[in-house]
Amino acid sequence: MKRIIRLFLGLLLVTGLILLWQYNRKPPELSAAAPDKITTATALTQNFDADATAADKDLQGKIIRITGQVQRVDTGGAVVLAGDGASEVVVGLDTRHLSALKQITAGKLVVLQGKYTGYQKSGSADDLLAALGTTVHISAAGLSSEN
Amino acid sequence: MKRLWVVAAVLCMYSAAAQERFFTKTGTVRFYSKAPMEDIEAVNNTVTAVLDGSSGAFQFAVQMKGFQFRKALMQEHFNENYVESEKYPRAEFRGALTDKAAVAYGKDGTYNVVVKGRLSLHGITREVQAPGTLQVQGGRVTGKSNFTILLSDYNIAIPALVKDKLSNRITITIDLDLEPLKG
Repeated sequence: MKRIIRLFLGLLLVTGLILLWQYNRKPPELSAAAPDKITTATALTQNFDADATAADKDLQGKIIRITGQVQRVDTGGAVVLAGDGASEVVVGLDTRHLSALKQITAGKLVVLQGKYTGYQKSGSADDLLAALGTTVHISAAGLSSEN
Repeated sequence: MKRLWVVAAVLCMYSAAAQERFFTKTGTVRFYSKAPMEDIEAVNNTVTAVLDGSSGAFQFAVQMKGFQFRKALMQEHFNENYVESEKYPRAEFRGALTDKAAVAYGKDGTYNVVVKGRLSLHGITREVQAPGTLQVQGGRVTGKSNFTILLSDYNIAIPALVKDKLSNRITITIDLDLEPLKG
């Protein structure tokens, strides 16, 4: 009987520890993960300009390693990479990697890695955002070790 | 010569109007939930926004999957169970300043404004009115606003099990560093 109680308490402890770990688990470090796709900002925006629906479907849930020339850097933690023509790729840095902003300056070629989160493309005539061209969004990113 | 002056005047007017549009693709939106057992905060730093100074029209869009949380489980629940970001990938606001004349875009200063419009989230669109400030400095405009929404207004249900961890009342904070939109 004692053995059964010990076994039960042991199982309870293990379950509790797993739940605690699961609850406090941090979001994964995507910049260190194996990328699902390696591309450039120019090629990526070309795909969206050609067929945004297909490109969006292809990238859902994927980790992207992207090389591009920095257009602008926002101290809030985002980097804009030049795409094809007026199109751009906006890369939001992982809040744990904001110190990487010190290494990123306008005009520099950088390799960033993060998760594809969506896109914005010219819409209806009353759409103010239409003036901004195609924008592809990547989030929770960091500098790739390839830099 | 007279015709040349007219053309020059029209070009100047066009140029002034064009300069009165401001944009960002790297704005920040935070949301904050204060509940008895837990405070939850998330940030999205890839917000796209455009402000048309001449008409007062203002619009922003947020990719829901771009919100970052401190804990992975919160982020997963947010995307899968609450905002259903696979089905509703974007939140969007379309509105205008209630008093477009309140801001002099050519003069540095901080102006109190009120923005009124329609916020679409989780497939539901509702009227929203929010106070904020627009700070004009050196041709750029910094916009800040803070307002609250109710998750229940957007058909986002909180399961009874997490009622003490997630508030129905969410505070939204917006920070936008807008630059002149050329072309």
